Amino acid sequence: MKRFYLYIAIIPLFFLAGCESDDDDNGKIPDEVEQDEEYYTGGKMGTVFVSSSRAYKQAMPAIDQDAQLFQQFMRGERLADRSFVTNEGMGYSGLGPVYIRKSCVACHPSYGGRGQRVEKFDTNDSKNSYLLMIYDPSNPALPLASKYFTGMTQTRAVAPFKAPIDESGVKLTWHQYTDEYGNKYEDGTPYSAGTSYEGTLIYPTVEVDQGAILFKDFDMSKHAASIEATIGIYGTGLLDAISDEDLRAQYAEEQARGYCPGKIGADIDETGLNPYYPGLHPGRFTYLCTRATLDNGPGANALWNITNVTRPDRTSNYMTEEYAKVMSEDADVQTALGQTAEQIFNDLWSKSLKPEMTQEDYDAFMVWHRGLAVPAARNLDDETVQRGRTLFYETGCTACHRPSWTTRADYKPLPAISGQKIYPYTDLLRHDLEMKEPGRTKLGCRTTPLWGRGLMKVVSGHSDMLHDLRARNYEEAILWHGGEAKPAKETFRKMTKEDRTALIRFLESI
Amino acid sequence: MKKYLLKCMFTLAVILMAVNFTSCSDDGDDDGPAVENKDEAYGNILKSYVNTTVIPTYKALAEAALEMRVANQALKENATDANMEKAAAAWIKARIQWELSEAFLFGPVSEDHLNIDAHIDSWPLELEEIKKEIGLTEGRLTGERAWKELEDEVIGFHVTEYLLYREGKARPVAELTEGELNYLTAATDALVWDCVLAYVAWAGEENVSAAIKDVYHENADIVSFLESENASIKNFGSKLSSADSYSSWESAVEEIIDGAIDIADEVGATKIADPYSNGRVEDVESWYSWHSLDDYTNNIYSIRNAYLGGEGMAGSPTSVSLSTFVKENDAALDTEIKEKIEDCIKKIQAIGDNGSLSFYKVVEAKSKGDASRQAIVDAAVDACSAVGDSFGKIKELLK
Repeated sequence: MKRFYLYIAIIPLFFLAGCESDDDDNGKIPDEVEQDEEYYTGGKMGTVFVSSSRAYKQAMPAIDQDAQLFQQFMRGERLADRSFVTNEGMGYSGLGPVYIRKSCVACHPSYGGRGQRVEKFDTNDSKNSYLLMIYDPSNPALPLASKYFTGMTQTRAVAPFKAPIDESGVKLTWHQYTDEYGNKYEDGTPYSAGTSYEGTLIYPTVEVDQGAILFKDFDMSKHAASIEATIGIYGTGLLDAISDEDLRAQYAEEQARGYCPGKIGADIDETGLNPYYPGLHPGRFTYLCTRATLDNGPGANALWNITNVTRPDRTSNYMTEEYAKVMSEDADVQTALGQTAEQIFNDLWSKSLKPEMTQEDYDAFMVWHRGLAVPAARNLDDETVQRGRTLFYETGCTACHRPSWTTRADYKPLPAISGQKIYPYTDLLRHDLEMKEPGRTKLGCRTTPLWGRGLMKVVSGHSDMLHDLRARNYEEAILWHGGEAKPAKETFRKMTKEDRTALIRFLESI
Repeated sequence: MKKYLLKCMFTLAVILMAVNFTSCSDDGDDDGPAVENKDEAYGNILKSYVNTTVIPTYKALAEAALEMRVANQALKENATDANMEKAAAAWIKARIQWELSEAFLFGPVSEDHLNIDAHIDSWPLELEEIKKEIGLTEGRLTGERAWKELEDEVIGFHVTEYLLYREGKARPVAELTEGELNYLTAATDALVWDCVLAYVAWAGEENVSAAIKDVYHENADIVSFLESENASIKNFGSKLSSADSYSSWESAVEEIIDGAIDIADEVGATKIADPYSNGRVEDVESWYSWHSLDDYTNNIYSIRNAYLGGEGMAGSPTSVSLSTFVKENDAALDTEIKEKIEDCIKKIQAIGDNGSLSFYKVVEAKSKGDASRQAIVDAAVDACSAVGDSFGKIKELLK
């Protein structure tokens, strides 16, 4: 009830303040007025007041207020929900010839609930949202393995084609880890006290059997493998609406301040790929910031490269030339298709395949993708949550988990979400947390947006976090912070139980 | 999918005007019932919802699936047209119960947990894979293998529908091959286990009959899936009734509201408007049995049951429900919601001239340029949206 009245009190202030940005105050504990503004985590046009299991599936008010956009959103949602199939004429056709998953929802349950930590790499397990990565350990950014494998490794194929890796040969192992404090807080309390895994930390390693690899001249012993879990889709439209200038300014500020200097994603030329914003843009999406804008982002590409369903702007197969060669020379494939190696290769490697998805459907998919709302914050006026907020700021968490941004004034793809003050709690830059066995994220992992994460237990029934889901709760996610973030983790370790609880309550509320 | 923020902002604007004339100094007099009483009221609504609507619906689904199994087994043993008709009727009976559950597609059946929704209601089908499996002469499909190894696109309601129906009618039994009959019974076993699993997960094994327990224990993989891999979702009805893991009682009650809004929007915008506007017959649900409009109507009955309490197509309102809460706090809204639900049902049925025309045919005609039913379809879509809008207003009463 209190919250409701506070809203009322601040509305006139909004009118007076207009769109004036106060993003410079990100390191200061916000006053009461701003704390109440923060209930609108995704801004007025990007937030929904839903805290049930459907919290991550909702359309933004920006979509809801426009009948055509809403219809496209619902169509897009259907495209994300459905599995693509190989046979034509059933709708949702075009799966394969080689692929990673059949649907978006296979890796994005509830569109942001995240999959769960699993013991076995089985892409038919709905809980497994991991992508398999094969890379050169001396250069995890991809290059060496890419002659053979696509950036996200494909483990499935439509007969007669064969998967680049037989996933039964992927061995996922979870190891116990003990930190220098014996997995205990300063006050002697074991980590995750009261749980079945009290006093433990775990991390994964991945091995791939040489025999499971399709390419005979690929030497797995000279490569490394890791797993990366998908992240939430909701709110990505708002992150896309942050201007490059603001992102670059954040980067410059971090370089100048003398601690926790984040790395900005390399510039990517989006000319011809992003109809709204062609030209160079710094990477801001994916763990390694390898995608710059939503219209050429992880989702826009995943719709094609996860399923290999072609569309007007993606008229080739997502595969390596090496794969096309090996398949075209495979006797089983030649026999099954009744074609020569040259015919098979030319078809697989064609750059002008017939689109299997219409532009209209793709546009609807992007409306859905861009339009998924952020759930509103909860209980911010609770005394413990307030204490947690103070601790979050005092501990220095905001150095990387930047609380707020204001979206650009003229976001062309969805003008209604322009000028929104949003609270994602990320700087969109990469930081090295020096985790044990970090996989590719040893190059630095993008600061994870924290908004909405507190609803994971309600949505998904678990709270597995970090890039490989090694953290089983908020405590562990904080405790895995090393490297640049170690001082903050140390402060957390030394807190009283009450303060640790308060900090986590705050995280659960935003 | 929608409505929440705008409703909230509208309310704020209204109250903002009011605030100019009152003050915030009073910290409770206008808050309605004391918090403790509200929490108790929410708890009672949730208990009623779980015990009179959700669990009885899943019980009926599990029992209907078992009838389907008996009918399909009889068909396999004695392939006559009469048995085919019985098997097709049993499919419809189970299908009705599934559609009656679609206002509560969260918790155990969702993709985050047991993924039963995808397992038994996937569309489209991977027909080539199905045909390949049917064609096997050795190592034929068993229920155990169907449940454990086959992917969503080759099992479930629509696969059994594909085997039993064509163009809205039961197939002539002479068309069915031995391989198809085997596939039908195996896929039905998998369907039975999924339906029983949903029921047991919501109700708790200790609360189901001995007969259901026996079916639950027929397949060790089913038991292990719930007991070992998804233990956190066991007895979900009890957890929801006590708002376990929710941030507040209101959030738990929101499940009822959000479930209703989601399926209302899905029926209107996704199931009806989308295929009709694009002429996509492949997006018409239950396209072999032509049962789509009944599916959609039953989805709205599911909303009605979630709101009024009780179960089944006929409904059986209970003395404690979300409706009684709304009525106590805003009688006009309660009346509005009930009227919108009834109006929606009538308008969906009108799309097919109350049973004489399938939605498949309506969409097919549209794809060939006949848009004569546009206004009737639009009215049904608007009616679905109106149901969602009305449910969105309930959230204001929870604050």
